[in-house]
Amino acid sequence: MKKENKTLKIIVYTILILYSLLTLFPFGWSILTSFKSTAEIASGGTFFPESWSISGWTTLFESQYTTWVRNSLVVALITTVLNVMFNTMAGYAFARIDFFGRKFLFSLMLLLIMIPGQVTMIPLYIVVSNLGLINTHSSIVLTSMINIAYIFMMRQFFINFPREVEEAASMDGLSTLGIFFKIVLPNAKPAIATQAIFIFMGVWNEFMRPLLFLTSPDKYMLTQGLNALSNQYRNITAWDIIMAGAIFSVIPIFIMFIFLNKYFISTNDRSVGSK
Amino acid sequence: MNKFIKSLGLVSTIALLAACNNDDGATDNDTGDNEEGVTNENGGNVNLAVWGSSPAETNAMEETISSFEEETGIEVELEIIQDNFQDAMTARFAANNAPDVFYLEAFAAPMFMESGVLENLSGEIDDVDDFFDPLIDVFRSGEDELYAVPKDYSTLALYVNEDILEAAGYSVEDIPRDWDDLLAFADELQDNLEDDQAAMLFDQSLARHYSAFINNGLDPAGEEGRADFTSNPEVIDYFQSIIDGKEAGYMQNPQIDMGIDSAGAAFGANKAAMMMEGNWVISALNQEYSDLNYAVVESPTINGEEQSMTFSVGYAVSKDSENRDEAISFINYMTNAGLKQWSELSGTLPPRGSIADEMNLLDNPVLAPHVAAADYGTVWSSGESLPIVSAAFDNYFQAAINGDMTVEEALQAAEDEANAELDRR
Amino acid sequence: MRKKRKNNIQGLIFMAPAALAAIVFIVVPIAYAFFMMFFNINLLSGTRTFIGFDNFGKIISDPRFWAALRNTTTYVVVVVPIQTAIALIMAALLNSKIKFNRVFLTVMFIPTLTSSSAMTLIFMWLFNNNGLIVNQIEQLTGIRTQFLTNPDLALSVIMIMNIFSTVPHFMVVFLSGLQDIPTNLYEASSIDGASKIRQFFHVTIPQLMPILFYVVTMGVVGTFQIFDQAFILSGGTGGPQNATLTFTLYIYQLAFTSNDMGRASAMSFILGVIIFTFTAIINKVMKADEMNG
Repeated sequence: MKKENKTLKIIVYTILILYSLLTLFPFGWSILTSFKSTAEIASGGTFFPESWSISGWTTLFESQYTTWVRNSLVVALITTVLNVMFNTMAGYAFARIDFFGRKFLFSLMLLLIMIPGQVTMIPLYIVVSNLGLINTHSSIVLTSMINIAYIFMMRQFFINFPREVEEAASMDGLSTLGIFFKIVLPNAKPAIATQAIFIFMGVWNEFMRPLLFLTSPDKYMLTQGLNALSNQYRNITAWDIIMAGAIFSVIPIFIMFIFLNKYFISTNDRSVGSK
Repeated sequence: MNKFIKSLGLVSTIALLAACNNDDGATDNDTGDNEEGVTNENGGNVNLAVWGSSPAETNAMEETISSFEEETGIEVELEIIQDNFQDAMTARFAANNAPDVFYLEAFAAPMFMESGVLENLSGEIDDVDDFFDPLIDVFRSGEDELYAVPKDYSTLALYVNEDILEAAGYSVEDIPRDWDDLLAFADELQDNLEDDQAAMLFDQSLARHYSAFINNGLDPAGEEGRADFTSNPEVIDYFQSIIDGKEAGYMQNPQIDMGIDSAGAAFGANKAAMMMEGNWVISALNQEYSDLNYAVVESPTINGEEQSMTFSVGYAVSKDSENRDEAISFINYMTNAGLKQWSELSGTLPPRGSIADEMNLLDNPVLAPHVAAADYGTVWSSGESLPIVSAAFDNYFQAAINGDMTVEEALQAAEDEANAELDRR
Repeated sequence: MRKKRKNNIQGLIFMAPAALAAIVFIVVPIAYAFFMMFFNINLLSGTRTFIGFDNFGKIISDPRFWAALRNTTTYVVVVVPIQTAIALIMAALLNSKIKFNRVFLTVMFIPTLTSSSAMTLIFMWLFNNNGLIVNQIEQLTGIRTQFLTNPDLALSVIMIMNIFSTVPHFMVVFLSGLQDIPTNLYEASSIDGASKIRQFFHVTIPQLMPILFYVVTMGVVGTFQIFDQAFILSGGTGGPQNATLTFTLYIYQLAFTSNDMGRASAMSFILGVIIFTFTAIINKVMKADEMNG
């Protein structure tokens, strides 16, 4: 019994380590590329830089990069907060409240995410333009303040949620809204953290909307700025600059993820599945 | 437990405050010069949309605009659209929010011209005869209709890495002018190169080979609503020669065969002895690969005739522009009085013969072959069917390169696919 | 009766913000697109002619539609099961009693952080005809396999790339689902002396069913709508020989190469219906509805 457990453990660790190495490889390669000179990148060359160059990084910070980072940070934060509120509320309603037309509305919402965005982009532009939102950050916040995919995800989470607590609170005379904010939200932390990280990431990496809606460089979001950089330097294959930009753009999400990852996983000293 | 909600609340408050500050700041900066379409005492403000390009071009645009503003008192609001320019323009026209003036590439021009959304500039532009004919003719539709004015252009020429050539025992003078001889030379050269070097780079898209068709008297998108890749067998020989070169290894594609994402980078890194590229590579070659020794000669002749591809970009005015007169005076300035400033600062080629002379471009050994091609190059533009025709070609020519189809089969398949699509439209 | 009414009001309160935003920024644009599919439309000039269902006829008669259908379906059928299985296994492993699980989780999350364009370029570099993988395979087997230009293999490169970057995303979703499984369920089964693997199949999977349904559905939606990778890899052509032509790339070409927004809209709704049908079938097979109560 003991022995079997040990072999199992070794297998588990081996798989995890191998998979981790596999995922680190492209990322590490990008980081190393950001420290190579342009000429070295073009010549293919070695995995590690032959001579370390930071010109990619200095060019990056000489551009308006920091403004774009700030814009993205503000827009992504606001959007994340709105999404977490509204998606969670709607997901909860779909899972728990038996209101009129719930099934129909849910199917309709699912159908809506199944229509690809390529054809709705121009109509969306027309809507945003008629609301007078062109070249404002509100255009991004408002058009992405809810996300059906995460309403759907929250619904699936709440289906499994133990009903007993809510019922007890209901007995104590709390209203549904009260239950939601006081009991449900705090207990749904793993799901909310998951949602938050992916919403943040989605807005952070959003490309077409900023491209169409934001027209002046001081309003740009990071992806647009990154693209501006890669457009500028594409002809000369300045991958060091582009990779430096790409790596830097990942850092905020990475930090956020490290901060939130306690909600996804309990530490090893506790027993399986505990909270 | 409640800490979680509190921190959520805190974050949202901070974020909202930051957003308000942010928007306030922006409005403060923008008031006065940002009211679109509103006229001020000096006349209108011109709103100009361009695509993102090199830092040099962006600077050049800003400086030339300032010169224009000083001279006329008309203010120009510059918008740089970083990618998917065509999609962005389509969206803006659809929302009746089109810029007054915008860049229009010759390739996309027929679509805009046919849709009737452009202002006719015929008779409004000074000294029209001074432009190189092919560059401006693509923006004409009939006798009295001119829908855009060229701002600059690029042409293809043959770039030669002199160091590699010398190491292999040759010089630039040894390079033959005609296509078939050039290939034979590349074949011979390949034997004297290092293993990781290619004698010549090639690109597989129709945009680079359209002139070879024209040169053989065949316009693949010539007849409206019809694609034709096959009615002249000599064209097949031309493409066969590329396939043969690729198979023998003396012609290589930078992305596919070398894993380098542009020809300029492969050439700059001494991985290729020759490439056919546009003048857009020059600034990169000079900046990033400053110890490179290279020479530029005119594109090879095909069937003994000069040929090259030309890429022309112009300024167009949208028909609904409320600042039509200001827009036209802006274009007149940019393509005439301000053209020299723009060309010099941006490093692009001026579409006017007189300015090219003034800048002594024909004395510049690197630029001269490009300027010479302005007269005889085929401009990458045809009717509205060209995007479909070229997409079909690019999809199938790759199959011929892979050896999955013969050149004849690939061209036939591309022609059929393009025609089927044109029929559906 | 009163309960019903109360529920309706509460439902309304909870749904209102999401519904309002959805109507303005999702339903209205989709309705506009829906309207366009019965027209031959020129977006630039705004002119349109009503042509009824002609756009659908044109699509059905287009061999590229069938090529896209074949490619995309293959893609979905291969990618979704693999990515779901890997994500679930990895989540379960991370959730077992192991050391450094947060470190592993953080490292494994990286591919999801990398943008699809950067990822595509990295993969193009790895798989190019003179690249690391091609050369390694040649050394091992003596056969020179070209991935990116070979119609049979180009799609598999995109598949690998997709699996690689989507697994961490769904792994995190599974993980937070695992966190919600009440501990007492495991305690009950351990008293029975069930092994870890048995526990996984008898406790974990049934408990995760709603999440599994979510992951599979979103996987199907995501893979049916695959665009970036195919676009970058083929330079937008869907070549070689339509081998990387996916539905959304086809829609893109209809809209911007053929300049036919009407047909692109019609194709979008065809795709929407295909995905909806597909997920409805999965829903039936997984009996997710019963689970969902």
